[in-house]
Amino acid sequence: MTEVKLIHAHDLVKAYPVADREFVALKNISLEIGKGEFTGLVGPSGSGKTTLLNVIGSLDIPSSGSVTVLDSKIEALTHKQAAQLRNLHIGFIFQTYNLLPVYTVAENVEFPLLLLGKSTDERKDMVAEALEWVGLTEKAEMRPAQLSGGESQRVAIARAMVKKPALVLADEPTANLDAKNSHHILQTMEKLNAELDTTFLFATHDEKVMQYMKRIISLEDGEVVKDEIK
Amino acid sequence: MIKFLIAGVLRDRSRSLFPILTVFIGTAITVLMAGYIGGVMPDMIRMSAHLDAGHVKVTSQGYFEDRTQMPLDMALEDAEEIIVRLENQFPDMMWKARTRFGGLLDIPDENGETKAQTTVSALAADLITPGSTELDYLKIRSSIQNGSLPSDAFDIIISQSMAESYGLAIGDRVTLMSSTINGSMSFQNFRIAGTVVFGVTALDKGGAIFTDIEGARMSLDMEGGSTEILGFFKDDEYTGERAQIVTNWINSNMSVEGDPYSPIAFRFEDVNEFAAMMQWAGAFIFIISGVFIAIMFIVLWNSGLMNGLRRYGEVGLRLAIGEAKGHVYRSMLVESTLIGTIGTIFGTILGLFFVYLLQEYGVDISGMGISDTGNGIYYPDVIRGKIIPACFYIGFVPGIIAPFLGALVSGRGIYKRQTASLFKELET
Ligand SMILES: Nc1ncnc2c1ncn2[C@@H]1O[C@H](COP(=O)(O)OP(=O)(O)OP(=O)(O)O)[C@@H](O)[C@H]1O
Ligand SMILES: [Mg+2]
Repeated sequence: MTEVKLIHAHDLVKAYPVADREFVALKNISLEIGKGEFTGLVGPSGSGKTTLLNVIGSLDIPSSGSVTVLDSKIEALTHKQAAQLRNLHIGFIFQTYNLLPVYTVAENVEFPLLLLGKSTDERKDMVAEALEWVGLTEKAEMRPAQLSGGESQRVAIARAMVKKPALVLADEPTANLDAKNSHHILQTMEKLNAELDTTFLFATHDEKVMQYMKRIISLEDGEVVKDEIK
Repeated sequence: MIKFLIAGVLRDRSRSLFPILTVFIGTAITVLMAGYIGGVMPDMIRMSAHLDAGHVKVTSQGYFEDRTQMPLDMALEDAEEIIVRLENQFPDMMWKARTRFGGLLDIPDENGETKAQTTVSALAADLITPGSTELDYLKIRSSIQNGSLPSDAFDIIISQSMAESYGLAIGDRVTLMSSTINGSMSFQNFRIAGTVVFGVTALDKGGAIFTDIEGARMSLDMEGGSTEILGFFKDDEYTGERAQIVTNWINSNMSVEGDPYSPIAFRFEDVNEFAAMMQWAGAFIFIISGVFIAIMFIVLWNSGLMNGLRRYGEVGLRLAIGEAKGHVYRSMLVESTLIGTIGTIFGTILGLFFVYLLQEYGVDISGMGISDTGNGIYYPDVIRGKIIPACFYIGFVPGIIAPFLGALVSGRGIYKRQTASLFKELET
């Protein structure tokens, strides 16, 4: 495990108001994740995996406690600053691939670069590189509807990786894929983790995913119950 | 980014087709309305001026005050002299004496005994001078049904319906009984030269007869006089400003304060409350735009909301990628402006096409009986549009504003919802 801490959560609590009381989804979570880690959050449905990823990804704010991601205190960020943090440093991969259907594969991958204000030439090179990582150079001009599930998820990976973010958050990335495609995806991400030293944080209850993880943090009812490094 | 938005709008038909169609139809109708007003207003002005008000109308002050009674004793006795003066002063105008008077028409049988009597309202104008425009301005030439145009000062034209009700034929002689300018009785024999059907209810309704101005002057004992003098710009193009110069001159050079027999001049638009109508017509184009802004705004707001629901996933994703809420919102505004522009361009083209058809072919409304509003304002029988400059740009007012407002309101949901809840849409 490397020394640089990318994510630092301390006494993190996330509570949702439900009817007239509160539902506590995350209870006093404290953990650290270092640069270059390939880590999975596992646990039964409802244990708080997605909630934790969202807070780390600055899409949600903690109710109390603190979370620091790349030196930014999530609880103190404005909307704009949070967007900036995501834009520059964080890539997301979802269970449903969430490709924009009206755009081609290449355009979907290009989208984050537009927000970063990259020049046309830069974008072209970076998109080509990202599509090469996931082996979809041939399908650059296709629309998402023309792709298989595995291919779609690889486009989503390319989109998350194209800007070479420090952190990639992947929520159940294999849930809609068969075994063969799941392995392919994970191998791709494993390779990118090694080559680019990108930190990956997964949320999953898929055994196939877990076997690739170098560290597994188990959640139950919003609490960390086990944290093991393989 | 804009390229991305354009591509999105063009490729996602389900997203853009309905709003584009809405704008398309809305702007087409707006442009059509503008062209309709642009065509009908000048026609209305022309027709009402020709038939009744002139571009400038001169009467005696006393006559104007009691004009609904058409008091013959308040006629301008020196009308011909006034006309000569005005013709010298305003060479770009022509001046026409007209006299309106009432009387009783006595219709004899074969033996010369009275068969029937009927009240008539007569309009006397210059019908026999070669080259007089009055036959055209009063639409007599184009409306002759039987017989011919008058050729003698004592020829009259009557309506076809009157001829039919009293069994009158071309060449028949009738006697018009009325009172002279001095109040004594006058009897004058006239020959029926022709009958007319105008197709304009107000003109065809019984009792209207046309006599030559000289014949009327002789029978009414008003040599050189008339109840009114109408001034027309020779190019037949009326504007309030042009007419104002003329009326100002007349009123300051010919009117005598406090003398009811001295002349007073009015602009066309001041004779029959046409000013209000003209202003209203000018405002009408903007009212129409306003109405279409409102209608399209509501439609596009709703479709924006529905689209927004469909696109929560996309919005969530874009936020996740790191786009700021404000940026997403602004891009939706740009997108709707694009949609508005596309719809407006095509809508304007369609609207112009309709206006062109209306300009070339017109719509005949003579059968609808709405040609006369009853206050001296006449609609043309054939409604013709005109491609006026406003037709080219007026559509952009509702066409751009409405979609923009629609997106402005429907897109507020992006701000209202928490980032996390937008993001939640991605999980299902
Ligand atoms: N907006 C919300 N309002 C109320 N409760 C919520 C909200 N979001 C999540 N929860 C609750 O928080 C708990 C944790 O949810 P979370 O989505 O993090 O679970 P998870 O571990 O990702 O489950 P799964 O494996 O099914 O995806 C659940 O009980 C859920 O009902
Ligand atoms: Mg989850």
